Amino acid sequence: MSNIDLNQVKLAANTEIDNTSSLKELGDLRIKYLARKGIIAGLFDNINKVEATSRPECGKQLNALKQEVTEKINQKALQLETTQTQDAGAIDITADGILPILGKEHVLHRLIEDACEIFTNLGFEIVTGPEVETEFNNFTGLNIPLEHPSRDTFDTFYIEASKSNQKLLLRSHTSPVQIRVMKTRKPPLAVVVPGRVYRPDAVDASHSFMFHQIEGFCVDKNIRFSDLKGVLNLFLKNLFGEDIKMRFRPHFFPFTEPSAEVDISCIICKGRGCSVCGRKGWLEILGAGMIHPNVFKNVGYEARRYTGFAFGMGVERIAMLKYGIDDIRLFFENDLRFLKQF
Amino acid sequence: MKISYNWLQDYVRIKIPAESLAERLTMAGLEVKDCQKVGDDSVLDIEITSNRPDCLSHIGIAREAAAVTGSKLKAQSSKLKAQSSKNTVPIKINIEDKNDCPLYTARIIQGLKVGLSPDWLKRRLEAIGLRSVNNIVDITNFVLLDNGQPTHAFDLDKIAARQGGQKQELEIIVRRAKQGEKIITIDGINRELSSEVLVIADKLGPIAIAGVIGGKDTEVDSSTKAVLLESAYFSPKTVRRSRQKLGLVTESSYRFERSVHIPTVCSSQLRVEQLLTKICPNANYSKIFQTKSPNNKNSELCLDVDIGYVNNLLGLNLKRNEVISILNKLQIHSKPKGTLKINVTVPDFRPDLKISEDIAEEIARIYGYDNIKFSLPVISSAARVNADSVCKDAAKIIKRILCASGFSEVISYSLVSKDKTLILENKAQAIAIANPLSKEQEFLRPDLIAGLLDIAKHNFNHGQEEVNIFEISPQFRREDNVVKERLCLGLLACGRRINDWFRQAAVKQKIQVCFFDVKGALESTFDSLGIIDKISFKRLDSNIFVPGQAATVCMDDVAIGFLGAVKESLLRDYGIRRNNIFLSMLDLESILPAVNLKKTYKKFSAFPGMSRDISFVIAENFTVKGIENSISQKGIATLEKISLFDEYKDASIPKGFRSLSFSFDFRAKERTLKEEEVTAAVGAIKNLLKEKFSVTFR
Ligand SMILES: [Zn+2]
Repeated sequence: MSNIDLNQVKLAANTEIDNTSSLKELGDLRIKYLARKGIIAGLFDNINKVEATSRPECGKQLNALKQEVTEKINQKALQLETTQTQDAGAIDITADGILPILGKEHVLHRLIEDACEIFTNLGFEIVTGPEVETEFNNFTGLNIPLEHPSRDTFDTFYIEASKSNQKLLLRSHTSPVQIRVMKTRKPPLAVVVPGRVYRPDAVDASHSFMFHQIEGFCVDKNIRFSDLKGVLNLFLKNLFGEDIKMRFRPHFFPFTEPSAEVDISCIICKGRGCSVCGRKGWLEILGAGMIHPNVFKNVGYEARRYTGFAFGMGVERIAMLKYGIDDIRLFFENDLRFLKQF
Repeated sequence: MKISYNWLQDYVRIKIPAESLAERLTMAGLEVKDCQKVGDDSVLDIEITSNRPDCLSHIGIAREAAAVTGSKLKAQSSKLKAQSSKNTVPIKINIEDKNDCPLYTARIIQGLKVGLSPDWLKRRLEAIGLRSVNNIVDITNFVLLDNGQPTHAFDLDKIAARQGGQKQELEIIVRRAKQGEKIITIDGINRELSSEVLVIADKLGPIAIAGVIGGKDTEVDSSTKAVLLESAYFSPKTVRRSRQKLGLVTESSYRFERSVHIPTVCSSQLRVEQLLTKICPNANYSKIFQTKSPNNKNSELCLDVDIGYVNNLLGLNLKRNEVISILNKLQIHSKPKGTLKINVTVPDFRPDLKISEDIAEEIARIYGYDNIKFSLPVISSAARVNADSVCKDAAKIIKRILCASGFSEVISYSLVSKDKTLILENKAQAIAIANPLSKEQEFLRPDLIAGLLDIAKHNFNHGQEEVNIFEISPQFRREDNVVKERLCLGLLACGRRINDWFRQAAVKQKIQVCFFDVKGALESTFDSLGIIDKISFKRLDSNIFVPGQAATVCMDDVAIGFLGAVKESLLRDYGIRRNNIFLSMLDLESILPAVNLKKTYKKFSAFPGMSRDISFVIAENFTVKGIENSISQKGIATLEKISLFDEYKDASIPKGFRSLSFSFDFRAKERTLKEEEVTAAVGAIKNLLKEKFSVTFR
């Protein structure tokens, strides 16, 4: 290896760098000269062929060359970056970004999760139950007589009887889980139950034979109706916003006494009256009340030892109001153009 | 029920306008759905809950109106008295079963002249949307709406005519219909009856369906001169069964089913007389024949109610006197008992009030639900058991991973048509609905496949190319005669893998989803659930998948699900004209017990690693998993990872063989690897491949 070798390399490098017009080419030159198996590295490899006495000097020169080429390339890069606007490698940065494909959780489950989280933050736990239920858990245990007009709102799908045992049905509400939990546990209880329920309704824009409910109940010594009001007020404001108003109307449910229907001020018209709320300014949103003593009796709790409240609401109705969805069938059609919006 | 504002004024002086009354009634539990002006009257449409049959009348609503407005009920003219006259024909009442009809009253009214109703009567009925028929029918309708008691007038001469004109003795029989017995009802329908239906009959057969509807051939018409007027108490259950059997709800059946008021049964005979006297002055009335009153069990109930308990239940702090005065407004009278209680006398028109909690609701609704303040319960930490929290956490993790992998969650109907259960190999496992609404919803779904394919089809038909969906829902099967409901995961993938125009433009083709995308999504899920080490995939031959493109998913060598490319014939059955659709189902109930969400940090090496590639040709009967396992078992401590990066077959490779390329990552925990040891390791791997799999290196 001689000075000439070095000079030739230096000259060639300088010329090539000067003639470069793109960052890409410059990148190639960087590899050509400076990479682990590049030209300069090759010269270093040859250093042992040189006489031992000249080696230190040679090394020095090589290092200087490497330094010089590196600096030259860096400088050129800087120059190209600042001056070059029309690089051949330019991309149209206005073209669409490549979106990662993200799946979406179903809007009903999303809503159920949000709602349940409000309750779990208040100290409730989530419990679920089976969709195929017994007549006792769905009706009798909940103080709903089998032959009484109070059952009419709970039209029910029955399962074709197998040879033996009791009558089974598809639960018409999530309340059977009250019976299941209370039969196996003693208070204190604070439970929220999301789930799917069934009623033989012909399907149209506002009816579905399958829908979802969220049930909640709280049982202990000294649970009061005012607690029910407080919990639901907190829940509804969390879900629909601070500015909604809530009202309790007396109602009748066989499994609660006293019972109430709960309305919120219409979220569409803010209470002024519109077609969604039937010009009333109020939207019926859930049913609630103090658990009927007969229910406690049916699960084997000592009379009047405990009091408790329970409430239940339809998830689809809440989702429809919250998101302005006008057809309940959309939830079960599963059109991706619908699902991906939430 | 429609209620006339003016009619109410007969019973209570209401000083507030109809709209305000509507508002107050609503807030007291009588929800007014609509309030409309009709002439000089206003009509309130009130929804009456099934526990309040007493409110199915103007008198009942008047009582509520008095309570919510603080007005007094008007005193009614002293007790009605029967004018009762010359005995006509005696009526023999024959009740087959007292349980069906505990009380029956009847009297004969003669000398009638059927004609138009007076204006006041027409106005009342028309205001609430009833058409005036004739004076007799109008009066029975008026009484029903006034006091809630249905009465029925039979044309006496028509009854006599049925017996061939015989008028000596009239026998009214209340009995269950005989199987197959028929009656033409006043709506003109010929109805076939069964033993579930209670009828009013004469010796010849039924003349009315008790409490539901009258018979055509004894109907009052313009030529009627005499009637037999019935007022009775029919058992709610019996009337309910009758009307369910007939599929017919009438104003009468609606009230009987909710129970009528026994004292009103008798007084209604007199009320009709009172009204009729003015309209048909020449009418004369027989005595009232009746069965023995049920030992007047409808008498008043007395309850001891603890004021402290009521206050506690409601979250109020009412004084005893306040409670007594609230109840007074509802005609519920009470007096102090001991120091803390009251003794409440429940009026006989309120059979719904049975226990202290019922009284508490009465107090609360008159006090005003809205006047009860908010409080929050103190929820003891003992309330949280978190019994099935693993289940919920696992479901959440599965959703999170699959959503991040590009799958959207769906919810499909649990009820399917019979042909959607065909995938089930054992048909006896399908669970039928006893009372389905339609053929589309005859069965509980035995798996999630039908739902996913239907959703895919819907989306394809609406121009969606990529359908990557999953559902977590139960499937239902009958196993050993028990209904088994198992939570499952179903997953379907189809279409482009990623919407990447940039790279696709480079390779000039769309990259489609494949078997390994689905397998990979499942593997990430298993990894997150902490069970990946227990999972293996075995070849599956199934009637729904393309042969050789399906796998059984095993956990600890027990099958927990499957995945594969759906067979074209099945897709065509579903009307799907596409291929390359991948489907998977997992039984989450088997997976959940194994889920391990505990994480412990594992140290990773700070030293650089080295990577070496090996490509070889190998007989096709050796699986990738088999090769990887053999190499792993060799125990090369520095071998960190084996990954397949190429597989192909072409003309240069002998039949029955394929080319595989693996990349091997080596790394030591505590030091930098030396070139020599990696070379030695690669040599060992190559030896193994040669000896065990007879590979040829490329
Ligand atoms: Zn509105």
